[in-house]
Amino acid sequence: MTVLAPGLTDVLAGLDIAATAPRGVAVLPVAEVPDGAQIVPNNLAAREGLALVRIPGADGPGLVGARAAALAEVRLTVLRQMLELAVARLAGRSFAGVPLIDQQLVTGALADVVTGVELASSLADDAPAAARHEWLTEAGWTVTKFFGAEGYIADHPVRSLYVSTLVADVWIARDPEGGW
Amino acid sequence: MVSVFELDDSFRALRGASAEMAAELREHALAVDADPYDMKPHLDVAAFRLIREFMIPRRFAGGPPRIGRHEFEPGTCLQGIVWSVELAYGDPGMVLAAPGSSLAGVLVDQLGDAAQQEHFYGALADGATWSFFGMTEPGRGNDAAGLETALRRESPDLYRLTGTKKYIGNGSRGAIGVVFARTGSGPLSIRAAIVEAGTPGFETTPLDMVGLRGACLGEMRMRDVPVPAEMLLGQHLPATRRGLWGAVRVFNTMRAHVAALAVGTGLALVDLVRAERPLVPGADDLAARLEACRQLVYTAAAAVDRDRNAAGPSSVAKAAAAALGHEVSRWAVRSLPPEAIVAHPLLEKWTRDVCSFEFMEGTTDIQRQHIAKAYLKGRRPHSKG
Repeated sequence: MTVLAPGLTDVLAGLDIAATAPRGVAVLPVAEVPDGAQIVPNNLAAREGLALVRIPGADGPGLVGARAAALAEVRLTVLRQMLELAVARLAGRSFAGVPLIDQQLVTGALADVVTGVELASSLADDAPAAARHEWLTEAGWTVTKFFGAEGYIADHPVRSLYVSTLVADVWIARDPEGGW
Repeated sequence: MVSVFELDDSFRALRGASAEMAAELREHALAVDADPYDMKPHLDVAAFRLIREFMIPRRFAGGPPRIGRHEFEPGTCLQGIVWSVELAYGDPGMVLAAPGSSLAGVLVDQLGDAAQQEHFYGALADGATWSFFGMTEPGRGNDAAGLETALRRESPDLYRLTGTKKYIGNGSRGAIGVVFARTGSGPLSIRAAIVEAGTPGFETTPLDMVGLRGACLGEMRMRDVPVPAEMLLGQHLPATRRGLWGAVRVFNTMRAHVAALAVGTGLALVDLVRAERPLVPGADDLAARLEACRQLVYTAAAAVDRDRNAAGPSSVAKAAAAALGHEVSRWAVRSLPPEAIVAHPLLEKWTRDVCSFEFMEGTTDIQRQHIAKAYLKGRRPHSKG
């Protein structure tokens, strides 16, 4: 289990969910789902102890400011955990006799992720939330690719990166200009 | 200077006919994503019939597939690509959910003798049977030359198959398929055999997929599975053309198919966003790039039809389309408000589906190596074909 569900619990602590959930949609730790919320079936979220829900009547702005930054920290921790797992996998497997971790294309991608993680950790709390989270999503996808088809199976821990993206896609307000 | 790949009249007719089947396919997409093993309610879709007609060799069908006044020769790569793009616009998971010969059929067409082809296609004739292509092994990924599944000769008439295959499409619902294994240690000792799922010693487990769930990946474990010698593919071919040679040719074909699925899904995502936000920024750029990818895919398919060993063009198409498909999915999510993920379940589904295109038939790193090799080979002044 990754830190995603407990991390999200901390991020949402003390928050009026119904007043915050963007247009009534939220991803919540299963234990935090309020009465009256409709659960939208989502296999990957459920496997992470989370639920995608619709809260009738709610129309909030989503997570902004310090809470959006706190969610980014949680996602960064998940990313680091999965990166460690990826490195262990890449070191233990080889292609044509050469360990994957020593293949030049892999070392290049690994260096890019490490650089991205360092940069993301150095962002100020008031950095634009949408761009920051999209950046984490991109880095997460690079890490996901290190696992190959293995990471496309729902019982693999790397599903937490797919769910991390879903959490941000639901909770983080869009750039008003559209796209990113 | 732009080189445009022009489809002739017959391919334009095929494109139009398959485009008309996309909407029906989409109606079934969410149910299959929720439970891909319950296919009974979905087997009558017109697209599955089209796929079957275009994949079965002519002599096992009532006649050649026809669209209007046009008659087709089944099995060419380009026609498969033309319908793949259009049907994936309906839903890519549904395309992969189609019963029939799929990858295994492409291999049996290449390496099978007449009796093997009859046996294989006979087993799939009911239109409700799936087939598997057993190449990938756990812990080995794309490294086909390193595969460990063993095919041991017990008598002149009988082999025994032992090993594990993982991440195999239809791996646990397929009734028949091909399995790659080695009879010895050298590269030429890798062979493929037609194997039936009910055989003693053959066990499978379904794998719960993140997306593209209609593909139904599974794990196959084989222990001393009896394989009659006449089920070994390529006996009638030279030693160099019995095993991996055929697999490479299948992959060149299937890479173009994966690229086609990515293009179709990308176009579907762009239109989903446009329907909600007609003036959305970025749509025209992405649509233009997807159309460019469609050109790459058509060109790659035509190259494969000229020479099934042509790896470069299908690798270019796959690398470009898989990356673009993922990029489009991110753009789509960020261009719509958060509730779109719930209001449009296909948006949520397609964002999972597009990730699969990276992993199928060789990751982008593998494609990059093919692309560079093909380019360097092509520009060498005295290269030997």
